Order: sequence, then C-alpha cells, then structure tokens
Amino acid sequence: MGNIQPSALSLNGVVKYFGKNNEKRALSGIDLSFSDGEITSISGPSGAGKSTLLQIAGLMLSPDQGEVMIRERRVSEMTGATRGRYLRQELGFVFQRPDLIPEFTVLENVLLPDRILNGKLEASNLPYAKKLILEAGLSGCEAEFPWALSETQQKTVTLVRALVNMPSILLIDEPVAGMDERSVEVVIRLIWQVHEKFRTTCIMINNERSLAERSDRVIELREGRVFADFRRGL
Amino acid sequence: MRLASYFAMRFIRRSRVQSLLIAVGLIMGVAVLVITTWLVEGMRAAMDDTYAGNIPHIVVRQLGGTNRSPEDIAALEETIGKALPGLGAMTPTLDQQVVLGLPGSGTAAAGDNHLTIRGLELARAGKLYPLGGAMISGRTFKEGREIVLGTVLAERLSLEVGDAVVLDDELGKVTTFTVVGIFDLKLEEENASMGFVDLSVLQSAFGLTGAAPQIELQLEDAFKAGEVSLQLASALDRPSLEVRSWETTNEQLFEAAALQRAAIRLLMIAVTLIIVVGTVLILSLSVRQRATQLAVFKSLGLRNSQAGMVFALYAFYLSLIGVFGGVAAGSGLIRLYKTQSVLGISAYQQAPELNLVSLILSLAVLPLASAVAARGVAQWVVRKDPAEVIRHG
Repeated sequence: MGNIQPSALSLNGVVKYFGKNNEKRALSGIDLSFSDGEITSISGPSGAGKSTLLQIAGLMLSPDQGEVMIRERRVSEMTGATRGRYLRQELGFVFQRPDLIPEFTVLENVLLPDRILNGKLEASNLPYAKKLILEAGLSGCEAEFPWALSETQQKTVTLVRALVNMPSILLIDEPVAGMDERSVEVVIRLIWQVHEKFRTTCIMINNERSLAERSDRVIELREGRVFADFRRGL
Repeated sequence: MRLASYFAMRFIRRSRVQSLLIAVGLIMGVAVLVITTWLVEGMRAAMDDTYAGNIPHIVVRQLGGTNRSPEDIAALEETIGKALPGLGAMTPTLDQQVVLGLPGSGTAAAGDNHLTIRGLELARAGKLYPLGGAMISGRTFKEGREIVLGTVLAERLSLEVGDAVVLDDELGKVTTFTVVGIFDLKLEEENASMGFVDLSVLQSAFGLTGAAPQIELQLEDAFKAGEVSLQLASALDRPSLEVRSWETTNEQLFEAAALQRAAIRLLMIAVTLIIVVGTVLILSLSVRQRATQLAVFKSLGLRNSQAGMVFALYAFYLSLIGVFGGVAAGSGLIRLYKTQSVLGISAYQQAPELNLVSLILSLAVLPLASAVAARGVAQWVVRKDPAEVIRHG
C-alpha cells in the first residue's frame, strides 16, 4: 500500500460553475490523483461538490477549467470517438438515482454496455451478466422491467450494469444510500469482489461510515475544495 | 444498424400506449391527406375538363386565306406531330356557312336557318369534338353525305334521324345531306347553329378542296399551351402560319382556370405541409421526451451518430406505420364514398381512381423527413452533458 501506484485517473485544477450565469462555483481548483486499484471514498456535506467531481471524473460533465487525465491522457485532447471508447471500456459509472431504461428488462439493461461496446445485437458477456445478476441477489428478476423493482433493486441493477464490461475504473455515486442492511452487504460484497478480481480502481461518494472504513483512501470535500485527504495505513 | 434497429423497435413495442397514440395520429393525418388528394384531384380534373376539355388548346391557321393542297396539310400535320409528341388530339377543321332547308320546300320555305357546318376528322378529334358521347339519337357521321345536327335545330325544324336536309352556300352550291344523328353539346348556341360533317365530304360538297383548314390541337396539359405554342411556332418557322394558344384566344377563361388551379395547388400544399410538419413535430417531441434514455446511452459510450440512428429509425418505423396505415384507411374510405351513400351524401362514382403507387411514393417524404428531424433532435440532446440531462431531463 506504501508503494507509489501509477495514476489511473487525475483531476488537475478542475473548476466547475453552475447556474444560468455561472454564478455558483461547485468546484474550486481540485487537484486529485487516483491510483490504480485503489478504493476511494469521497464524503462531505450536501452541496460540497461530490457528485459534480465524480461526474467530471466519469466524463459525464465537462469542467469549466482544469484538466481530467485518464491513464496520463488528457481528456480535453481526446476525440469524441476516443472519449466514447473510454466510456465503453475503461469506465463504469453509477449515478445516485437509478437511471435504467424503462423500456428494457433488467437483463437488457445490464447487457446494454456490452452491446454498445461490441456494436452487436448478440451479447458477448451474457454468462458473466447472468452471474453478476445472481451475485447481486437479483436472481429471477432478469425479465422484469425496472418499474417492477424497488429503488434499491434498481440501484443494484445499475451497479451490475456498470460492472458488466469489467471496467478498470468504477465511479459510484452513493452506492448504499437508503439501502437496508442486507442490501448494503450485497452491494459491498459485489464491489469488493470485482475490485479483488480485476484490481478495479473504485471511486465512490459515500457518507456511510462502514464503507469508508473499508476504503483505502478517504477524501472529504467542503465548499468545492478538498478539506481532508488521507490514506489508510499511512 | 441492426443494434440501432433493435433499440428503436424496443422503444416502439415497449411503450405501447404512446406508440399506439402516435401511430393513430399519423394514420389519421395520412388518411386525411389521401382523401384530400383524391377529392382535389377529382375537382381539378373536373374543372380542367369544364374549362378546357372541349376546346382547342392551340390553333394553327393560314394567314391571308391562302389555299393549300391536301398534301401540304398532311405535311404540316406530320411536322406538328413530330414537334409535339404526346398530343391529346389533332384535327384539321373547316367551316362553311350555309342555309338549311328541307327537300321540296326550298331553303327559303324553311325559314332563314343559317348554319355553320364544320368539317373535321372525327377519328382524330378525341375530346375536341366528343360527338360520340353527345348523341341523343342516331350515330355520328361517316364518310358519305351524312350530317349531325343539334337538338335545338332539330326540334325547331322537326327533324329526325333519317331525314334529308338541303344545304345552300348561297354561292350556287346546293347539296343534300342525310341527318344521321342528333347531338346535345350542352351549349344552346352550338345546338342551334352548328352541324358537323366529315372534312373531306365538306370540301368535295362545296368545292373547298384547296381551302386551307385550320388545325386544332389539344394537349395533355392545357395549361402549358402558351409555352407549347411558342415552341411550335419556332419549330414550324413559317411566317404565313399563325399559332395561337387558348391563353390568348380565351384569355378570361384561361385566367379564371389558372386562378382556380393555383388555389387548389395552394390548398394541397397547405394540407401537405400541415400534415408533414405535424408528423415531424410529434415524432421530434417523442424523441425529446426520451432525453434521459439518450443520456443513459451516451453515459454508456454510445456514439452520437449511433444515438441519432436509433431515434431516426424509431421515427422512420412509426411514420412508415402512419403512411401504410393512412393509405389503407384513406383508400378504404374512398372506396366506401365511391360505392355507398355516406351520411346522406350520395356516392361519388365519377371521381378518379386513386393512384396508390404514386401516392405512396410521394408520401415517402414523410418517413424520411421524420427520420432526419428525429436524428437531429437526438443528436442535439445527446450533445449535452449526460449528468445534466439525467438530473434535469
């Protein structure tokens, strides 16, 4: 853990404004580097800029200033096609609110990244997708539509969907918020299982103590700035 | 493409109520367009027929009354035929003023029945002289000394089919013709003062073999007569010939007809535009409503062009249902109108047949326009940051 790991993802001087006239500053010059295979918990009060930071790191939002680098490559210099390839292959993103496509079944939703990656109707990762669904405690739900599931189940499906292409970087916004104890355990087990198997870099927004205690690194944001940043064991 | 089509079909099939409502709306719009096209086409054809159906659209005549040999006329007709392929009808005609009388009673005894006898080639006259359909008794003339007369004249002189009449040109030529038919051209003037005979019979009966007849032409499109007459005058290139279109000989009639045509065309353009724009807007709105799904696609790495293709196909398939469903519904209703009395309106049997193939081809613009618009909307939505769209829609 003390060894210097290569950076999987880094944010250099990232600034983001919100509001009609950019009157609200959500992030103020964030400099962070996330090492390969590291699990990071980002915490902070509401409005601290956690979700914005995660969305910029996950290429879902563009920064107004600063730079995002994935594996030492500047995102701003990437073409749309390259950004798309990173989204399909390297990154797995889970929004705070479940964002499943209501017209697709659970299995179809989970297989979406696989189909988009390969550009084919035939899913190449079908057995793995089914295995993940089983491990997530969603066995029997494959043919269900999202509206037939509870919000916890929907959120678990979005996590499974993010894992199906075995991304090297996983970004999760509040993975266990609002979940019952049993579901929290299932989700934690799933994340750690994937992390151990593929050495996945995992960055999650999390205000749950139990999850933060298991993370390699904990960052606290306040008013759009890094307030605290410490690694376990250092 | 297969994947985009799969996603598009999923959106259509899994949002059944929305898809059904959109499809029903499109089917109704297209059906209205089909029925309007049919009615307007029927109305336009009927009006064209009323205005220009039985008149010469172009007349070629000799200036100064110079005589011409029949060979000259035949050569002239051949030149016209070559210059204007696809003519509706062409016949030489020649008029002779006569006084009509009855045999034995002398022309004067029958009263001053001045008459214009027109000689023509009925077989080539087509709709210019639709005598065949206008006969109320007897038949049309053939090559012998046969004449057909109008109902008003026949009634006034108590003439019947088979009677003989004496025609006097008051210049010394008196000839007897047999009445072989009585016509009703729905024009009192013509029914009272016109008689029709074969052109060669007229020429031989009144010694007019060298007289230059005028050549009457009817075009497929009467409203191109002005342009075509200039083209013909240039092709003939003879200063002794006058080429006139009905645009100049019947200026008021032409202007009235042209105005009505333009009004009908504007009406059709307006109806078509409303339906095309309505369809495009409904489908674009439906794509806009799927902004969240588009953002999810983008967050999973779907390229902008692929996202555009998914929704272009979505709009294309729905509007294709609209086109085929609308054509089926519209033509079904047309068949009903043509055969049954509907809501107290009697069957419109004389309406033209609907050309389904050309209608479907012209309606192809609908799915294409919808697909292009839906693709544009999808690509506009997908350009936004997905997090923003997922959060705010």
